[in-house]
This record gives sequence, C-alpha cells and structure tokens, in this order.
Amino acid sequence: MRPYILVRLLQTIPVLIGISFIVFALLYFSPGDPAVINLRAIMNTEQPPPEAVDAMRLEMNLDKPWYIQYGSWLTRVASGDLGYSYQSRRSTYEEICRSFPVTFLLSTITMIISCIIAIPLGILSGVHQNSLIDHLSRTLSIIGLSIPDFFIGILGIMLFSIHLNWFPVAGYNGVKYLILPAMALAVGMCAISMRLMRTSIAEVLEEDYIKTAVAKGLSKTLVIKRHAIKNAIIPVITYMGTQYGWLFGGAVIIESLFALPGLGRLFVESASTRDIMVLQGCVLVFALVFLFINLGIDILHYILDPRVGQGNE
Amino acid sequence: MKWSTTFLFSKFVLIIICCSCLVSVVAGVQTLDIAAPWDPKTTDPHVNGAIAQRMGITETLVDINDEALISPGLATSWEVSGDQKTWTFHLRDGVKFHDGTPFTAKAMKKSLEDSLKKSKTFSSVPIKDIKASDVLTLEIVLDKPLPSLPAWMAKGESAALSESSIDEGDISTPISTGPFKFSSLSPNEKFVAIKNTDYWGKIPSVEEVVYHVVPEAVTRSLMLKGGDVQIAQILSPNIVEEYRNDNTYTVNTKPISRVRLLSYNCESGPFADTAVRQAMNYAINRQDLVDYVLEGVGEPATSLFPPTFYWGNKDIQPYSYNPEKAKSILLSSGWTDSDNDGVLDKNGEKLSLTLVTYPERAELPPMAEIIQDQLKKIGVEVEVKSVDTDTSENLRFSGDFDMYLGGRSLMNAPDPDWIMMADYHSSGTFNRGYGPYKWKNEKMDSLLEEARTLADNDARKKLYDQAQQIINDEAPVSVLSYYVNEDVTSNKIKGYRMHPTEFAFHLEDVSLS
Repeated sequence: MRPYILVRLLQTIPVLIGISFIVFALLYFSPGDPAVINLRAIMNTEQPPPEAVDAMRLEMNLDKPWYIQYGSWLTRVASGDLGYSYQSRRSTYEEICRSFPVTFLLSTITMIISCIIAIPLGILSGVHQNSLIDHLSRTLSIIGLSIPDFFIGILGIMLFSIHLNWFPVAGYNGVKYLILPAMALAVGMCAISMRLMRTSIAEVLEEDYIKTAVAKGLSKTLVIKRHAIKNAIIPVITYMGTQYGWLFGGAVIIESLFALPGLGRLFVESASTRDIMVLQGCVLVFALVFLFINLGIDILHYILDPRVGQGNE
Repeated sequence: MKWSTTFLFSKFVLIIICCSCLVSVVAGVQTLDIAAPWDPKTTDPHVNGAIAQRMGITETLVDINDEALISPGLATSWEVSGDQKTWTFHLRDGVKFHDGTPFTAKAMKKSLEDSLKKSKTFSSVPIKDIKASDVLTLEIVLDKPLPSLPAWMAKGESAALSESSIDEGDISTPISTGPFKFSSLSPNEKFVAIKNTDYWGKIPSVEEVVYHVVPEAVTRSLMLKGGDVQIAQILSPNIVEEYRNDNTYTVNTKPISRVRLLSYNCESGPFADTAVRQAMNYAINRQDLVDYVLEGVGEPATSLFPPTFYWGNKDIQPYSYNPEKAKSILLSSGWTDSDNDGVLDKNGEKLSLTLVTYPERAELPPMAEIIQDQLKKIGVEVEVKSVDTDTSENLRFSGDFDMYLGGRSLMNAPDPDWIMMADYHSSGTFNRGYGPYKWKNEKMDSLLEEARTLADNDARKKLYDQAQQIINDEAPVSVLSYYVNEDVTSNKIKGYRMHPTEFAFHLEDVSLS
C-alpha cells in the first residue's frame, strides 16, 4: 500500500502544474485589463484613474510577456511562496488558512448529515422495494433534487432562525452557524446518494453469492449486514467522495447566502477581481483536496474489499 | 472496519464539533450590529481605508459634511500659498491617538508618507514634499497647483495613524483618533470596533460595533428581521418595499455621488450636431426610467451633481418630456421622414444609432431598451449593444458608438475638479474621459481652468454652476438619474443617518434603546 500512495502523490505534481497553467491561460485570454479590474475593487470605483492603472500594471508584471508572468509565479511557488493578494496585501497562504477550516467543517458536516440520512434510507428502500418507506424516500429525494439549495437555505433561515430561533441567521462564529447551511447543502446531496444506495443494494441482492448465503440458511438481516452492504456501498462511497471534494469550491452560493468566510467565496471573489495569486492558490488547494479524497476512497475500498490493493503489493 | 464503527466514528466527530461551538460566549455589552455588502479586505487603512473610515475608527485631516462639502476634520483650517503650491494645515489641538500618544504634525507627516507609499489612491496627486513646520502645522508642497487637495485629504487612505502603527509595516492594528477603536477584523466575515472614551468630539453611546460582511441582500434583510443586526445596508428596491409600511423599521434613502449618464459621440455622426443632442433630452422620459426600471426609487436627474450636494446646481430647470418638441428640433436641423418608413432621414441617411451599455450594472440594459422604445416614438432607430464592461469601454474609446449608457462616480476625490477635468474639459474628452466623446466647448474649458486658480469654495461653486448649466444646455451628455442607497434600520436604534459620499456611518450619533 505504501509505495502505491507515494506514486499517487508524485503523480500529482505534473497535474498541479497543468491545472495552474490552464487557470493562467484562461485568465490571460479573458477580456479586460487585470490591473483595471483589480483597481475597480480596491478603489471602489468603476473607472480607476490612469495613473493608478499604470502603477498596478507594473506591480502585476503585466508589462512583461506571458511566459515571464507565468514563469515568475511558478518559480515563486517552487520556492514555497504562494504570493500575496493584490486586494488585501495578505499572503495567499494566510488567506487560504483562514478560509479553509470553515469550508472543511461545512463540507464535513454536510457529508455527515448526508451519510446519516441517505445511507440508512437507501438501504431500507433497496431492501424493501415498493414498500411505503421506499415510495416515501423516493418522493422526498425527487423533491430534494428539484429545489435549488439557496432556496432551501432561505426557507431554512425563515423557519429555524426567524420563527423558531434555533440557529443564527447568517455569519460565522462557531459551528452552530454551520448547521443550517450544511442542511441546505445536504438535501440535494442526500437525494442522489440515497437513490444510488437503493439501486446498488437492490443489484447486489440479486447476486449469486447472496442467494448462496440465504440458501445455506443465514438470516436475511445477517446476509444484508455482512455481505450486501459491504459490496453495495462502494459506488456510493466513490460518489460521495467526489461530492465531498466538490463542496470545497462549489458551495459558493450557500457560503454567500449564509455569509460564511469560506474557500468557495475566496475563490470566486479572487476570480472576479483577477486576484491571480490567490486564485491559483485556491486552485492548488482544490486539486490537493481531490487528491487526498481520492486516496481516502482508495484506502476505504481496500478496507472494504482487500482484493483492490493486492496487485500493487 | 465494521459498518457500525463508521457510524460511531461519525457521531463522535459530531460531538466534538458541538462541544467546540459552546466556546462562543455572549458578552453583556451594548452592541450595535450592521450588515453590509462590502468586505474591508485589510486592516491597513493606508492600503484600503474605506470601511475603517466609515466605522469611525480612522480620521483624516479633512471631513466631508452632509452636503458633500469639505469641512474641518483633524485639521481645523487650511490655506494655500500665493503660488497655489503649498498648502498649510492647522491641526486640531488636544487630539490623542487610541494609544494615548498625542496627534501631531510629525505623526501626520509619517502617516501621509506611508499612505503615498502603499496606496494607489493618490497616484494622480502631485505631492512633492510634506513638512511638519511645528507641532500642529503641516505643510504639503505640490509640484503643480491642485485646488482639490483638501478633498483628497478626506480619503480614507490618508488616515492619521500613530507612529507605532506605521512602524509595524503591514498594519494589523490601526491606531487612529476616531470615536471608535479598532478591535478585530476577520476578512469576509466581520469587523469589530469599540467605543473610544477619550474621543475629542462627541463620545459614542454604543459600547461596541460589529460590522458583518454579508454579500447577499436577502440575507442582510433576514438578519434584520431575525434581530441579528439593527442596520441592514444597501437593500434592493423589492426588499425595501416589504419594510415601507412596517412601523418597527425605518427606511433611509440617500442619493450618492454616482449618476447614470447617456454620453454622446460628439465627434462624428448625428450627435456632432448640438440640436440633435438637445432633442434627445426632450425625447427621453426620465421619470419612466425611474418608475419602470428602478421601481420608483430616486428622482430623475437635473444637474450633474445631485441637488442635495453643495456642488449641485439647484437652479437648473429639468428638461420636460416633450416628444413633439424633440421632433420639431430634429425637423429644423434637417431630419425628416422623406420615405415614410417611420425612421427619420437626412440626405439619404437614416437616423439610426448605436447605444452601447454593459450588464454589470443590472439596471442599465433594461434602461437602454426603454430609451430605444422612447426614441422610436420620435422616429429614431436605436440598436442596443449590451456587452461586458471592458468591451463596452473599447467601443467607447475607439469612438465606435453613438450613445454610451453607464454609471459614473462623481466624487472619487470629493471635489468637482477631478471629475470635471477628467470628463468635460477638452483635455479629458479627447482622452480617456467618461463624459462626452471628443466634445470641446471653449467656455467650459475656460471656466474649469479658472476654477483651478481659485481656493474659495463659494467662488468655485459659481463657476461649476455655470459649467453644469452648459452641460444642460449644450447636452454633451444626458444626466438620467442619481444612484440611491437604501438602508433599513430597526426602530431599536436612533440617530442613524447616511452620508452622501459614503464616507461615514455616523455611528457616534447612534444610540440603542
């Protein structure tokens, strides 16, 4: 297992360089002068004065050809310096360290809520197909899938914060501020995971080894617990893993709605202000998050199905 | 790993998370909470000083009053030398920084030098030297005369900070002189300030102010309803509507220093003819634009500067909506519908125009469509090009347009000199100004140049009033409407008022009941 992990880690270096180059190229070809766009946000005016624009262009290296712009960033990163934000003048490292924990907690709570709801419901409706619980959970999942998360968020605030006063409306000051946004995010996610779990377990139940286990006299509950779930959960874990990774950058609408200082907002704001070094830093973090989640999924697969790792030992 | 252990593990994580949230303790101080869309971004006011200034943490030499006119701040008075190049500021006596050290000319000099080094705000201000000639006298020497210098000294980036703050380099704790002291800043989250009991002016009544950064207007409104904040700033008209008939809230409205302008290409095409531009002013129904696009918020514009501002020309008679008059003006300058196709023409050329605008300000494209419709009624064909800001600017600066609809900040420096020179003097209109394109008016040029030689504001205002009258009469641009901010406050607070150039929240005047 260990050399396998090492190889996977080394493989990411070219991937990271490739991604950062694509981001650089996208920004390079997107319309508008990055210096002007940055200054619009800094100076709070649509039309920054030309003197300020000239100074900003110099600072951003925009007077140099593209390969020098990209190359100087790359050498900087290679020496362990992610640069700084043109907007706040803080280092990229500091910006990311500040937003990462919020997003990490938010995504993790979302995944926990989603696991707690989706997996047992999926198993129940897969095992008892066309029963009342199956119909109920499938209806709920369609409703959950059809309502956009920000709308669920607003309804949640109205019900739980304004009427019931259980949670604060928005902002961030500890984990209780994350429960509502996590619930809003979990609804849509639950819906898909639940259906996947249902289909997966229904398929596994048709397998020969399950029939064998039942035929040799094991009780149905035991068969499901010991054999069916273990095999059926693998595609669900893979799916939820990617969802988990997606949440790090993709929860921006919910982060804005609930005014959470997360990574998604940092990413979108730095993209819209052309704060390129912070943007690149965020992209690297997303890539690393996906890498570790994929690694985690692989390890989970190995635990659930020891055949997976054998080829590499 | 057994399935049940995974579950147990996740429950364990949940318990840890729940414990950590118990750490947050509610303190019993009188706190005023504000929800606003803008992120302060940095703790260093010399990099970006807007929010610290609005919160009343930092102060500047010069203040901006409710009429958007300069007034004494940390300097009680100032004068300029005969050659207009040396400004002398007399500083307020007895002012102390938040750390107890006295506010002196030496400290102010150090602050300004730090600001010039860090901020791009003053890149167009020709400061040559700053001298502390005695404890409370500061001299600013310029390379060339600039009558708006005191106004620049009101920008948040020129904040007075203690020498110890500046020695810090990247300032993490700004120590200034304002009615509130800096407490903490969490970017994209909140900004906290506490009362300064040693303030030289009116001491605030609230103990603590928390400024919440909330990008969504819906959330700001929900926070107000949930009682999490007492002031929700910059709400959209449809949200404000819910509060209008609710007497537990107050709706505060203020025109700010930004206008929507239709500027004309005066170099070539039909708008090179003054009469055609004047006809547009009669053909555009400004009230309809306000009613149908802005949901009735705000008033149609008359002068370039809002009449609530000192600099606004209050005597200008607004153009009435009069399509018949517009038609007759066009007729007298030779535009007739000779082929009866509903579109006016002259010498075989149709009166067909391009209107360029951008959708980054959401109200502009629908406004452009209404203008298109209004002009159709007098036989003018308009093609609306709504493209992103940068493309629109490229079209504009290459002269590839007839009309350009956009928003324009008037008070980047809170003084008319900057905007008038940039947009209406021929040196600006033939350059990268955002007023009329390649428009030159001798009278305008000489008025603006003369205003630059004067230091007295009343005398300058007379000239700028004339300049605004010329804009109205010659119609190089049509001023359509002013931007208006709407803040809703809970009736638990008293004394809140909005600032015309958004330089202050006046929180020292706010009390909680």
